[in-house]
Amino acid sequence: MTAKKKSLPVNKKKVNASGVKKAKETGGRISGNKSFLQQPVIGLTGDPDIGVTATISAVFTNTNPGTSKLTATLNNQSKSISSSGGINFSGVKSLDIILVQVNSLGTSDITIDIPADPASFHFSPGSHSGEFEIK
Amino acid sequence: MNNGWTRRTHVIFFFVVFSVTAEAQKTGNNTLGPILDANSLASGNRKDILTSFFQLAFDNLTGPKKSISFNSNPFAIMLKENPGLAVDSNYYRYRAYRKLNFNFGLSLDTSYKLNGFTIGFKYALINKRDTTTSTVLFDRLEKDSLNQDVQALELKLLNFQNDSLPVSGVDPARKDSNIMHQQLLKKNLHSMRSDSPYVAFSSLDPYFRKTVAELARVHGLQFFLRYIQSHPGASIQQALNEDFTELKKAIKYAPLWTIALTDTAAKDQLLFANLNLATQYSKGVYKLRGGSNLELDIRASVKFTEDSLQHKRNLQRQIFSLEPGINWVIRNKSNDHSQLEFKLGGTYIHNFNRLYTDEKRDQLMFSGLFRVRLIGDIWIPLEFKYDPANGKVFGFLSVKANFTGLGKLLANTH
Repeated sequence: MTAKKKSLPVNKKKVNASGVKKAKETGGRISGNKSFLQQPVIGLTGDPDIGVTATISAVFTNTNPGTSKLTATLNNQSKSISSSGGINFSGVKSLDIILVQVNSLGTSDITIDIPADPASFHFSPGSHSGEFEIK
Repeated sequence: MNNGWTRRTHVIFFFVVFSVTAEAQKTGNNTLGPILDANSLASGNRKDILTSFFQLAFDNLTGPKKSISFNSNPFAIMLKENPGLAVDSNYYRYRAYRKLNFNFGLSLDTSYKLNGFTIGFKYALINKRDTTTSTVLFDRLEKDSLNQDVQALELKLLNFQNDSLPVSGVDPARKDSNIMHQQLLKKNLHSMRSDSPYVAFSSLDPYFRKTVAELARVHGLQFFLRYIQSHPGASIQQALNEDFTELKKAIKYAPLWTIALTDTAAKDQLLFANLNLATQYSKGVYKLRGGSNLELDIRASVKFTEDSLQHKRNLQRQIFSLEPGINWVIRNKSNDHSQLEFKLGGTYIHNFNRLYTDEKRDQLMFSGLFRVRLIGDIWIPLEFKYDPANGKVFGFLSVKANFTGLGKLLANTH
């Protein structure tokens, strides 16, 4: 398991998940040969008391769709996907913890688009987990 | 003559090593991890049936009909050019390419002069051994008892962090204390799930150990509880990874069925002068003690060749052959890699058409193949056939190098 720490700028632009869709369409590549995993984080939105929308993105490689599962849990609310894509949580606040659990026959790259520690996880095939602590 | 042969063998062997080294260096850290994993568990026989990257083979080194052949998988080559093809949606979209092997080869005479070539394709109709796509394997991974308990425990721990260590709506002193405890739990959960390096459960913080043990007890996660009590010095993630490796081993005995079409032409022949339609089925049938196993290997083929008694170009000579055999795979106990293989079987040949002088309609032979892993993924197969009708024994020596395996070996040594 590899976790990457990254201090991310906060701005007022709304989060969008188009990077995930584009990465799926182009097989993880976006224009200019830059992986969507390397895209700058767009930032947070809304009042700190209400929280922001966070997108957790997963790219599963060297396996078929359906032979991976990402489950993300925030405040007793769990959401899952079984192929590359994204999971959205609204009302995410500073110091919240999002647990990500992965079972996959391939490798998994999990990222979050709001400032968090760590900013991403890279998992080898098998069962892995990690926690994003929202900054 | 013996010295000459030995010298030639050495030259060829060093050529293989040099070629493979160059290829491995060129490849670098490409995204071929799972393919390497599947390869590492496969038997040499399975790699001859369906290679996952490159295989360079020198067949029949000691006989009059020597050949050099190159086998590859188009998806592996495409992946080197565009790593984005490894993303799951593309991985599935290009599944036909992953199941396809192509090969081309050159035939040499006794003085190593070119006297023909071979081209062919092979397609896996059934490949239940692919550890990157097996739904059976994924289902077993999800249902693994320790995995289920660990993932359930993580959810309980998250609830505990949210409910018992709140960071909002509490006084500043408690908030700081709760943040500190949350950080401690998070850090230790990360360590418990780390695989670089593995961290023993006993070396985690006592507060974390006490918390997860209590949560496991309260929520009836008996498998996890028993594991940490019986293996306090073990790493949880290492145990999970080892469980996954065991699950992968279990599917290496699953069926693999291929169909192939090959054209062989002598240097004075036209294309499609010797067509061979072949099928091969392999399945693990019995697991022996010490990690060894027996593999059922059945090959059948129909060869369409030219009837030289006819003056026009034709494919009127059709020869059917059936080769059932049992392959004994002896594995290294430490890493479960196949080290030595011995295949015993028979060959039945039937000629459907006009017989040449002294030719028999039906022929039966006994055959054997002894295969040893020399280093990394370079194999030396020695094949022999015995014809009971005339009491003759034929032997063939070959060298086969699977490039992915060597790439891994080189990566490990650097």
